Amino acid sequence: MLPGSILHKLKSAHTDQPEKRPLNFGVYFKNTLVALCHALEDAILAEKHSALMITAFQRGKWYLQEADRYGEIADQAEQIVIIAAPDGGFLDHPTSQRSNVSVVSLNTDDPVSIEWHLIIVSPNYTAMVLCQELSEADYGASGFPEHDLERKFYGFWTFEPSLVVETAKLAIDHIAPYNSELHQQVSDRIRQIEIDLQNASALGNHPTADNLGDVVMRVVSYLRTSQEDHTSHSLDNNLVSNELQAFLRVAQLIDQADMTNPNAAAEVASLAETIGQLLDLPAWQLHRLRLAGLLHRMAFLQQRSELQPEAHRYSEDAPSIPLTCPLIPGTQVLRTMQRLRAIATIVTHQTEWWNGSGQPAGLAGDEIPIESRILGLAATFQQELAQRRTEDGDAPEALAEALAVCQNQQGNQFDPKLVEALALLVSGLQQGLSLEVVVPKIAAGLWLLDSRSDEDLLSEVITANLGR
Amino acid sequence: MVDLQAVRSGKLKHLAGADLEDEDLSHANLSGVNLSGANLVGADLRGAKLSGARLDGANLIGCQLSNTDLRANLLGANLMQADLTEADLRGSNLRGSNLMQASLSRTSLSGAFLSGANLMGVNLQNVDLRGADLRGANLSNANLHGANLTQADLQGAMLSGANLEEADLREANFAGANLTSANLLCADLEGANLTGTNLSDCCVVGTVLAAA
Repeated sequence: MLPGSILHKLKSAHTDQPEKRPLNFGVYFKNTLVALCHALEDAILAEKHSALMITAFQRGKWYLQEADRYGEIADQAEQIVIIAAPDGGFLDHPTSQRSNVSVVSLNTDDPVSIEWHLIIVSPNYTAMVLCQELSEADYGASGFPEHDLERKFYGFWTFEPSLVVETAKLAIDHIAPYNSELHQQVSDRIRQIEIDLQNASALGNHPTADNLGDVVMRVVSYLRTSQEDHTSHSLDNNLVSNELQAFLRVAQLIDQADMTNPNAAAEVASLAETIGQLLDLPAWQLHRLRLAGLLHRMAFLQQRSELQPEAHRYSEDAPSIPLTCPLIPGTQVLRTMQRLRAIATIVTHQTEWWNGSGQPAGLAGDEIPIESRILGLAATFQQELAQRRTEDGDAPEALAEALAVCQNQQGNQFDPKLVEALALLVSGLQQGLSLEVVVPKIAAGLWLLDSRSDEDLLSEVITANLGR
Repeated sequence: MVDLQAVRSGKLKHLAGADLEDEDLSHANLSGVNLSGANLVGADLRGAKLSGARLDGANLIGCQLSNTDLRANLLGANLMQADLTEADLRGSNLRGSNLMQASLSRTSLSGAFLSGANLMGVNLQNVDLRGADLRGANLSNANLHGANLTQADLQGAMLSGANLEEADLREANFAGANLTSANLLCADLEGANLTGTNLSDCCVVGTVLAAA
């Protein structure tokens, strides 16, 4: 990693800092980055975000390929800062001349000229892609790739507001020697956005199904489209991996927004997988359970209108149309990735009750997919346990109380045999068994996807119900 | 001759050394059957249940084992060129087995005992190897891109030239392992033990190297 590069500065700021998480990097092919950046940028157009955008393009010629698009984005964005090593004509493009667009010409030996960044900050939407290209030596024995599309980068992308703001500051500080006036003005603006982000009405820290959900759907669809352009297996894997990453990053954001239970996804995933093991479920079903556990809170993503009650003003007069198949906004986002179809179904039906009185479809007993039943139980237990957690961890009494809440609903909300399995697990935990809670390595989630993660879990049930 | 009907139904429990070459045993229930030293070369065992079976020293060259429940004793078994796609090998005893040129895509190997196994050049991309025992295993030039090796024991393993790009190696034990020329691009080695590990010519760009 090149010293003086923005990625290096950010990594250094996160190394050996107990209050900051170490950064976790992934590998990206050029076409993945193009699709990702287009999707994240287009959110500004679609949602009309008045955002501040800082982009590092390596070379001016790469910017020129995007300059017309950037002209459109400049109509909507508040300000755009473009950083690149100069190439013929890149300052003369009409976009470069606009009042809210600033172009910074890097010195040729500036380490940032091998980096690819897109940093978007605004109170309602933060996102970034932060990458550095592999050097010739980094490719090792395989050597520098022949095709431009196979050029590799490493780094990460995220929606996390605190990380994006931290990086925006590093990036803008880097250009201070080039343009001190711009540095001062943009720094002040970033500080103001940082304050605005703390506002209760700012959506940046509160993922919603329609705001961030739409961004994620766009990411998945752009990645899928660029998959149709070629036939390389490793490029495909990289695109699919990033589709999955989009969802895992939303799940991460949902956890971070919940101060009272910030580790729910990883804990529910471990609990659900362990209950599945006690029931001797096959390996593919356990993988499904783990992935559904990691993504289970997406079902509770709300619509923006639910957070802003005034938008409901006219809904009382609207005719109520019963839905034949209930749609959960958060899990509809999951369904945009075909390979997650089974996971979306599992997550949708985690709130069904064993006795048939649950939501969203009123399924009962074995009609409810076994993974949904396990997930619902694990999520309830984890939530009860997290509420009783102290600094010393989970006391045996807390475990017993959380279990008692679930046992109280045995046969009503929960499948009796699953509650028995949970009781067995709890007695193990009380006797010192520890559950491995592993926070997912977001760049490497493909081990959880198999040929059955896209199965249609409910087709038989739905066909049977229609025949009634 | 072996009564195939009886074999398929799982009625015959003692088949040590039996000759079942190229036989169709797909979806058979062979749980707990003793097949040690059996000849299963080219046999079709797709979707079969072999949990708790004895297959130590069995010859499974080119065997079709996709979606098979193989949570069995495969000590020293020969699985060369076997198709183990999506097979369940969790906790299996594969010590000293030969898995060269086997197809291992989406195979479940968490907690499997693979010490001394020959996995040279195999494709283990995105495979679940959590907590697997790979002590002294030969994984040179193996493709472990995106594999999950958290808490795996790789003491003294041969990993020269292995591709560990984006692999999850948290809390794995690499003491005395040979990682010469391995690709560790963006791998996560947080909490891993790298004592006495040879990392020369390794690609460690973007690698999390916060050792325990």
